[in-house]
Parts: sequence; structure tokens; C-alpha cells
Amino acid sequence: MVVVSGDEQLPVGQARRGDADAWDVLFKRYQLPLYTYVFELLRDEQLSLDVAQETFVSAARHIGGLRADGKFGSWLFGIAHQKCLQRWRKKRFEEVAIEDADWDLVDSADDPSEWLIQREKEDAFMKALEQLAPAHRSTVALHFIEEFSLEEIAAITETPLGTVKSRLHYARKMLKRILEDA
Amino acid sequence: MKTPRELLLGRHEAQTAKLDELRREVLAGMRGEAERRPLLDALWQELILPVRQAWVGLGVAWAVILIMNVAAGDDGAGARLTTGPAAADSVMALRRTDWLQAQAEKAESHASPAQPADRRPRSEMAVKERMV
Repeated sequence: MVVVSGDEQLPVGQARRGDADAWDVLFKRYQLPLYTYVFELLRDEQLSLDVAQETFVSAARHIGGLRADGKFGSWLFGIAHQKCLQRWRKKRFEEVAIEDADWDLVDSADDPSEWLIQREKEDAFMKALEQLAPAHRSTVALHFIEEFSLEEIAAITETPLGTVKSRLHYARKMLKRILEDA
Repeated sequence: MKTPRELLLGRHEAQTAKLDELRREVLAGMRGEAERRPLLDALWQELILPVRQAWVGLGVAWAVILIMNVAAGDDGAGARLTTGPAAADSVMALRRTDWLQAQAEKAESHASPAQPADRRPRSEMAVKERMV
């Protein structure tokens, strides 16, 4: 029986040894955040479920490739991100992204993950998220859903750190503007 | 008021049942795969893969030892055949064996041939004795 005492003490070591109960705990912990992230990229319910399943299968097969147990979350999201990219390739995911490296760095005092969204603005927030380019939506979703650090987001999306910073800044600015107008 | 995380996850909470089912399917597949997994694959996964650096290190060490051994063997093979106490003992033993064999053959040639046995029926012998 696998016992998890806290969010950061996941049974990754036991999962490495092929313990199915440990995998159950890990999948249960990440299934909804992972699905949410994939859905935000693909905007298709069935496709997102398929990608989530493929991600779990792939994680179980390639757990040997995970270097640090503490990085399991970002590693798992990295697999999901790659699978989304494969689906997106036809739609030229990367080309849709707006590259604006001259944006200022993210101001931590106005961190979007600390925002509180009023009930009447919830729909506007979700619509604003939809309006973002996929690359920006991906960055901001990773930041919102799992509160990954900028470095972790850079690793997951295989993007330079500066690009992640500028994307997050741009997304924050866009979301803020839309929420203010709503 | 909700945080973006609560809002995002909340929007997809209805999918939890499907995700639970999906998770169970993946786990069932994993269990089945583990049961079907051949012994060699299981050994590779559990014995080699987790400590592959150690195995690579051992392999390199053995390769170095083997190469050194082969190199040393090429240089000293000829010398070992002609010199050293072991070679001298062998030569002495061979000479002694030859000498013993020669002695045995010599003794055999000097010995008188064995007289053939007087083989006759007992009844004839008895008659001869009585005639004398």
C-alpha cells in the first residue's frame, strides 16, 4: 500500500520499481491538471483524453529517463506537451506564437497566479485564455495549473527562458486588458 | 472569487469519472504487461537500467583488464615456453620417461622366449609314462 503524506512526497521511487499502486497515486494526483493543460492546448475533449492516456502509458514506459524524482510533475507535463505538439504540427503551432523578446520581464508583484477572479468575470477570463496564441496559452496554463517556475516551463516547452518570460508577460497583459474591459 | 487554478480545474471536474476510468485502464495494461514481460526484459528493467552507470563502469574495467591481459600474453608467450623452472622440469620429466621406456625395451629383447606349454590330453601323458 502506497502512502503519500504530502503533495511533494510522491511515490516516484516506488513507481520506478514498477509498483502499480504507486503509479495509481501519481496518475490520480496529476490526471485532472494534466487533462486541463492538454485541453487548453487542443480544445478537444476526446483528443485531450487520448493524449492524457498516451502520456500516462509513455511515462510508465520511460520512467528510467527521469533524472530527479522531484521533477516528476514537470517531466510528465513535458511528455504531454510533446504529444500536443505532435497533434498541433499540422496546424503550425510554433508559427502561430507571437515572438516578442523585447517584452519586459515578468513583474512578480503582479503574478497572474495570485489573481482572484470575480464570479461575473469567470467567463470573460476563460474566453480571454482562449484568445491567446497557443504558445502563450501553454505558458500561462502551466503557470496557473501547476505553478511551475519559469525554468520548469522552459524545460517543459523546450523554449529559451527569455521567451518564456516574454510570453508570460504578454499573456498577463492581454488577460488583464480583457478582464478590465469585461 | 476563485484563483485561475481553481477556475481552470473546476471547468474540467466533470471529466474526473472518465479520467478515473482511463487511469484504471492504463494500470490494468501495466499489470498485464508486467505479467507477460519475459525474464530477460524484467532483469534489464530492474537490474541493469536503474544502475546502468555502474554496469558501464564495470564493463569498461573488464575491457581494460582483458586488453592488458592479451597484450601481456603476446609479449611473454615465447619466453614462457623456453625458460623458467616449469619448462626445465617438463624437459627433465620427458627425458626420464624416454630413458625408462628404452630400458624396458632392452630388458624385453634379452629375455629368453617362453617355452610353449606341453599341451596334450591327460590320457596320452599317462600312456607315455606307463610305457617308460
